[in-house]
Amino acid sequence: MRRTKGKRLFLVMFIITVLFISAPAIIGKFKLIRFSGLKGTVEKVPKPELSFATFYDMSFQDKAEKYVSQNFGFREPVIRFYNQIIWELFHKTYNDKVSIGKERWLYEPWYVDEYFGTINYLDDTIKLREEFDRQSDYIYQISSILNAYETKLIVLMVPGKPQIYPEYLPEHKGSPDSVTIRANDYYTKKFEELGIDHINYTEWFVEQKEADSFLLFPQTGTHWSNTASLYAMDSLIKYMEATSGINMHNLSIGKLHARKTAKTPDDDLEQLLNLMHPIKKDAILYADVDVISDSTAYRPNILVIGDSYFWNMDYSVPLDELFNRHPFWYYNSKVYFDENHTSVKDLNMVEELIRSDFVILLFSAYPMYYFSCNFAHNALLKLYVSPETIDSLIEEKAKSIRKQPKYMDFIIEKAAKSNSSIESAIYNDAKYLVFKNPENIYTELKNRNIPQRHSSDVDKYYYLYKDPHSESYIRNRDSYGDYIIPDMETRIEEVIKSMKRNPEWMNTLQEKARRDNISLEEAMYQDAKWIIKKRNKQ
Amino acid sequence: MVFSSNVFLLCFLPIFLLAYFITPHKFRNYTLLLFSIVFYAFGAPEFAFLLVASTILNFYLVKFMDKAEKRFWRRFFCTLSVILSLGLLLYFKYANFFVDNFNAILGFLGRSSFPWVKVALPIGISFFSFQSITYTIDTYRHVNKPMDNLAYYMLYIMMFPQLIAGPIIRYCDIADQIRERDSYLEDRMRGFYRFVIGLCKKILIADILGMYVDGILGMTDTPISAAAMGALDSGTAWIVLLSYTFQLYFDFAGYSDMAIGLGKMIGFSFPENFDNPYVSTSISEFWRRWHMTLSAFIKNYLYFPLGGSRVKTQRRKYFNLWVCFLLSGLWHGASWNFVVYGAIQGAFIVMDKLFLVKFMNKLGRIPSVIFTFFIIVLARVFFRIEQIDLGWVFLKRLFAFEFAPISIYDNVQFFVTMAIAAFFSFITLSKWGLRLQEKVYFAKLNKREHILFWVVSLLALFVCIGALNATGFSPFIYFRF
Repeated sequence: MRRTKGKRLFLVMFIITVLFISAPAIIGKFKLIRFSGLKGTVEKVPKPELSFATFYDMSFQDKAEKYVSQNFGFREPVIRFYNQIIWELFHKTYNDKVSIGKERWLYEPWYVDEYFGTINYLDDTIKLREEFDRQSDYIYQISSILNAYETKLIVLMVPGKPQIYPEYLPEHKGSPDSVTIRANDYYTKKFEELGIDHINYTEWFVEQKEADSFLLFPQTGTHWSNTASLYAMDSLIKYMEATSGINMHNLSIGKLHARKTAKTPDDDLEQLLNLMHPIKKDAILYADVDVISDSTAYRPNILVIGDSYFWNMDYSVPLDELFNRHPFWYYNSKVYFDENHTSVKDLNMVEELIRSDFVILLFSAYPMYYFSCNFAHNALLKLYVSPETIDSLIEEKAKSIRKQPKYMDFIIEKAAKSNSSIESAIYNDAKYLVFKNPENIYTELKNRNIPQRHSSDVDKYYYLYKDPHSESYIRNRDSYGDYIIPDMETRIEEVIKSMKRNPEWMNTLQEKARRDNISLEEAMYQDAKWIIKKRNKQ
Repeated sequence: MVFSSNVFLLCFLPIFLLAYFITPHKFRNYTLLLFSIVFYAFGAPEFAFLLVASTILNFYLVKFMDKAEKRFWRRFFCTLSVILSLGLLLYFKYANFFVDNFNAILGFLGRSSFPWVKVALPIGISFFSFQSITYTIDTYRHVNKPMDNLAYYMLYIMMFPQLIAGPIIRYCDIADQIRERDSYLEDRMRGFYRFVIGLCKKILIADILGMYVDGILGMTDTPISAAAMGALDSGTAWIVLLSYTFQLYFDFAGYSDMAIGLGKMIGFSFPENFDNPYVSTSISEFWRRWHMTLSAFIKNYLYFPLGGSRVKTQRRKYFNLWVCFLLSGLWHGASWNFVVYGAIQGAFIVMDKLFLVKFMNKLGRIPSVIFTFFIIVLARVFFRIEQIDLGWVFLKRLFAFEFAPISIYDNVQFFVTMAIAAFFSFITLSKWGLRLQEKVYFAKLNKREHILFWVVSLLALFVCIGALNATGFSPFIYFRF
C-alpha cells in the first residue's frame, strides 16, 4: 500500500515535471498567455523554414535557436526573474547598454567613456581637432547662407549625465583629467569665435545642481530630466526671441511637485534592465507647464536635427502650441513629426531648411563627437550645388569608375554580395565619392570662404516660402504663420522675376529649354508654374 | 545541439520525453534511436550519414568476427573494425595537424607545401570512436556477446545523452541495459534532479567564469595578442587561470551530470565521470577522479595491451605510462599544446610512481591536495592556450610577481561564483561535505526530501533558462574534443 502511494507521488511529480518542461513551448506556440514584452531593441528572427538545404547548411538550426529564444512561453517572467536576482545580489546587468554606478545610479556606457576619455573617436587629437574645426566652419557657412534667407541656425549643446553627476559614476580605468579635448567645450569656443548662435547648457546645469532644486538627470535615465528639458526649452524660446526679434508664445512653468515614480522617459535605462520591480529611488520633481497665449505671438516653423535628448522636450513641452511645424530629424536620419517624410534621404533638404524659421541643432556630449551626423556636410553640399550639378558630378565619377578595371572588379563583387545590379553599385559608389567631401566640389570651401554662388534650389524655395522681393506677396503672416496668397498669374510673374535675378537658376533654365526644345520664356513659365503648384500643395 | 540550448531544453527534451513515455515499452529503444539521430544531425548534419554508415559497417564487421571460427579471421575482422574506428578518428581529428606539421618541415627545407583542404571535425568523434572500439574489443575478448539487433547497436553508439561528450561507456557496462532495463519512477525523478544539478553547474557557474576568462584571454581560436598577454599583471593571470580551472571542471562535470541524469530518466545507469578531482593528493589520484571513463578506457584498451605493469623492466612500465598520458593529451585536441599537456601529466604520473606519492604521504593530506592542485592549475595553461609561445608568455606573467589593483566592483558576480566553485570543488575534504554529496547524488531520499529536491530543481531550471536567455552565453568546452 505504501509503495503504491509513493509510486503515485512520483508519477504526479514526473507528470508535472514533463508538463513544466513542455509549458514554454506549448504556450509560446499557441500564444496562450501574453506578456507586455521586454524593453530594448532586438532584431526579430522570423520563423525559420525547414528544408533539406537549410538544415544541411545549418542555417535552420542557427535561426531555430534564436527563434525559440525569442518566442518561448513565459520568456518575459523567466528573464525578468533572473535579472532581478542578479540585480539584487550583485547590482549587475547583462545589458551592455547600461552602466551601473554607485547608489544604484544608471548611466549609458558611451557617455561614461566619453567623460573618462576612453572612446577613440579618431586616431589622435590633432585629427579630432581638425574635424571639429571643419564642422564649425561648415556650420558657420550654413548659418550664413540660411541667415540671408531668413532662417536662423541655433546650436544647442547639452552636457552628458557623467559631467553633471560624476559622483555616482562606476569605477573606470580612464580619467576625466586625461581628456585633452572635449567636444562641447571646443565647439563653444569655436562658435563664439565665429559668431554662431548657440547655447551650451553645461554652465547652467552646474549652477542648477548647486542650487539643488531638481534633478537635472534622473537617477535611472540617461537623458536630461523632463524638468530640465522644460527649463531648457524655456531658455531656448527666450533666446530665439532675442536673436530674431519675433514675439513667440511663452511657457508658464508651475511649482515643482514630487512623484514616486518616474515619468517616461526619465527611467529609460531602468526599463532596459527588464527587472520585476522598479528600482528604489528618491521622489522625482516635476513641474506643471502651460503656454501663455498671446494674440500677437508668432508660431515659427522650426526644424530640429539632433539626438534623443529632443524626446524629453517632446514629452515635457506642448510643442504644437509653440511651433507651427517642428519636424525632427533624429540623428539626421529618421524623420518625425512630418506627415510627408520618414527618412531624411527621401526629402528635399534645401526646401526643408529654407522653409524653416529656425534650424536647431541639438546634440549632447557623446553624439557631439559625430557632430551633426553628416548634416553639415550634406546641407552645405546641397545648399551650394544644384541637384542637376550633383547628378552630373555623380555621372562623371561613374564614368571614371567604369574606366578602372580593378575598381570594376570590386564593384562586380560588391554587386554580387548585395544582390544588386552593377549599374546601381556603380551609382552608389559614385554618389558616395561625390558626397564624401564637399570640398572636392567647391574649392572655395577649402579656403574656408563662403562661396558667392549657391544652388538654384535655394532661391526657388525661398520664393516659395518667404521671398521678401516678391512685391505681390504680402508677407502678412497671421499668428499661425500662414501667408495671404495672391492670384496665380501674378505669382508666376513674381517667380520669373526671381529667376532673372539668379544667374545659376537662369543657366539651369537655359539648359532645360535647350534639352526640351522650347523657348527660354516657356521654360521659365513652366518652372514658375510648377513652383506655385507645389506651394499651393504646402 | 547542446544541452544548455533553448532548442534542447524547450523543444527537443519535452517532445522526446512525451514521445518516449507514450511509446510502448518494447519500442522505446527505437524512439530513443530516432531522437538520437535527429539530435546528432541537428548539430552536424553533414556528418550524420558518416556516423550512421560507419556504425552499421562496424556492426557487421564485429558480427563477422564473432561468427568466425578461426582465430585468423577473428583477428582480421577485429583489426579491420578497430582500423575503421581509429581511421575515422585519425583522419578527421589529426589529418590537419599532421599535414600542417609536415608542411612546416617542408617549408623549413625550402620545399613547396603539400596541397591540402582542411578537414572539418565531426562533433563527438572522439567519444563514439572509443565506444566503437570498446564494442569490438569486448566482443573479441568474449566479455560480452555482440548485439543481435542493429538498431540496438546503433543506440549504444548514438544514444544522445552521451553521444557527443561522454561519459565513454564500455559496451560491457551497458549491453544488458539496452536489451532490458527497469525504469523506476523514483529513478526518473533522481535523473531529473541530476540533470538540473548539471545544468546549474554549467550555466550558473562555468558560463559565468567562462565569460571572465574569455574576456581576458580572448576566445580559444582568437586569443589576445602576445603583447596583450605580456601586459597581463600576475594577479589577473592567476585569477584567470584559477577561474579557467574551475570553469573546465564545472563545464565538463556539469555536462556529465546532465548526461547521467537524462540516462537515469529513461532507465539507464551510466558510469560516473568525476569524483571530486580537485581534492586529489597526487596526479595519479587526480586521473582516477577526473574524466574517469577516459582514464578507464586508456587503462583497458591502451595501457594493458602495451603490457601494463607486467612488463620486464620498470623503465618500460614508466615509458608505457608516459606514452598513455601523452596520447591522452593528444586525444583532447590535435595541437602541440595538448601534447605538452599530456607530457606534463605523464611526467608527474611517473614521478608519483618513483617518489612523489611517498613524499606526499609524509606531508599529509592538505599539503598534498594543495601541491597537486597547484600542478593541475599550472598544467591548465597548456590546456586553455593553444599557441605554445603564448602559453609560455602567460606562464612568465604568472611568475613575474607584478601585481596591479584588481577591481572587484564590476566583477562581484564573478568573484562570488568563483568562491562558490572553489567551495564545491573542495567540499568533500570535510566529512559533512562527503555526507552532503552522498545525500544529493546517491542516498535514498524520503518523500519530504524528494518534494524538496523536486521544487528546488524546478525553480533552478527556471533560473537556468532565465540565465541562458539573459546572458546568451553557453558554449561547451568539451564539444571540440
